[in-house]
Amino acid sequence: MRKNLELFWSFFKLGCVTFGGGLAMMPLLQKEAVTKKGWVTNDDVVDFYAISQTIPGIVAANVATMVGHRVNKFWGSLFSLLGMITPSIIVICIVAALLKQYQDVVWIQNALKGINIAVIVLLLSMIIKMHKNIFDVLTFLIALAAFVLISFFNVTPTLVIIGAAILGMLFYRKKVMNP
Amino acid sequence: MSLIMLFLTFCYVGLFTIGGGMAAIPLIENVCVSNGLTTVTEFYQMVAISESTPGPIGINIATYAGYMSQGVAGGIVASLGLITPPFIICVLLIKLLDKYSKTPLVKAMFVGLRAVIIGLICTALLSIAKICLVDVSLFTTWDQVWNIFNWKAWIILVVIAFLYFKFKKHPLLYIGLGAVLGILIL
Repeated sequence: MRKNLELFWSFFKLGCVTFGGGLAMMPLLQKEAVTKKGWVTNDDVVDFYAISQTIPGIVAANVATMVGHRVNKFWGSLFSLLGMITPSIIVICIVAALLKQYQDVVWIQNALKGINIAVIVLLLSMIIKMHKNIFDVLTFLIALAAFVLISFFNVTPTLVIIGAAILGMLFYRKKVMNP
Repeated sequence: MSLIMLFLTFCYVGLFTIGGGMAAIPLIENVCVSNGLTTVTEFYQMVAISESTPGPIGINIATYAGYMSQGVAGGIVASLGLITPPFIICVLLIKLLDKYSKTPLVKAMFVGLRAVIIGLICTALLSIAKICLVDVSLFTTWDQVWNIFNWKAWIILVVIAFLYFKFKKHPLLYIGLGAVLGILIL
């Protein structure tokens, strides 16, 4: 039970400070679940993100479920997920009740833009940290194609990820057997 | 809409949200507008608010829509509905993965997945940069292409990047710093 509550609390905190989508949460999640708690590895986090984007549901919620499951099976995943969504429910209910003009408050908008700028720096450092995942021409092309197809041709990320999984299975099967 | 209908409706939305919260927006719009909870304009105000409050965007919008229908209880029920089907799928899937994670095929699959995530992060980076570093709507001619860059934002970017890579403190510290600099400078 102590583990479950610890998971709930960790994801509750992450839910409070996640601005702008699931991937923006990744650096904070790594700090909490990998560096601080040692629940999962960096590779686990990356894998969970990839899988989460190809199955139904909200990415951040799916990632929380998977991390929780690693730590304490079913109950761990349930508590992590509930921790992840509780801040949203509290904040939105308050905002919906009180602040009809919330999005017109200038200083809040500027604070959010500032947060976005910080997130850019954090995401850049993630890419640097993950550079070892690109180790030959094909892995480079997979990453580049994903960026171009999603950003400029509006291809859905789900299809791109499934494509990358298939390419991986086709071309790296022998390699992972004899590393 | 009754609470049970609300729960089932958002179960349906959760099941068909693939690839992240943004995919849920058209589905929830349909739910809100066809049930007369909001107009289209009000709905997109809700989306804007959901993007600027903490938490995953999909959960925020679902909570908001549920709140419009049934108050706080509706907010809770709608977001629980949204996460229930994916939760079941996730738990089943991770059991399978743990069982087969040592096989060459699954290992090879993850080589592809770990590469593609870098492309996805670059995509996220670009869309965030479009919000805060450049404003394409200010573009007039190529002579004045520099107008679209929000130079105050770039200064904040350089300051935060310098501090982050020099001191490597907890990421939250830099998020707080971003908020403060945003209020003071932007």
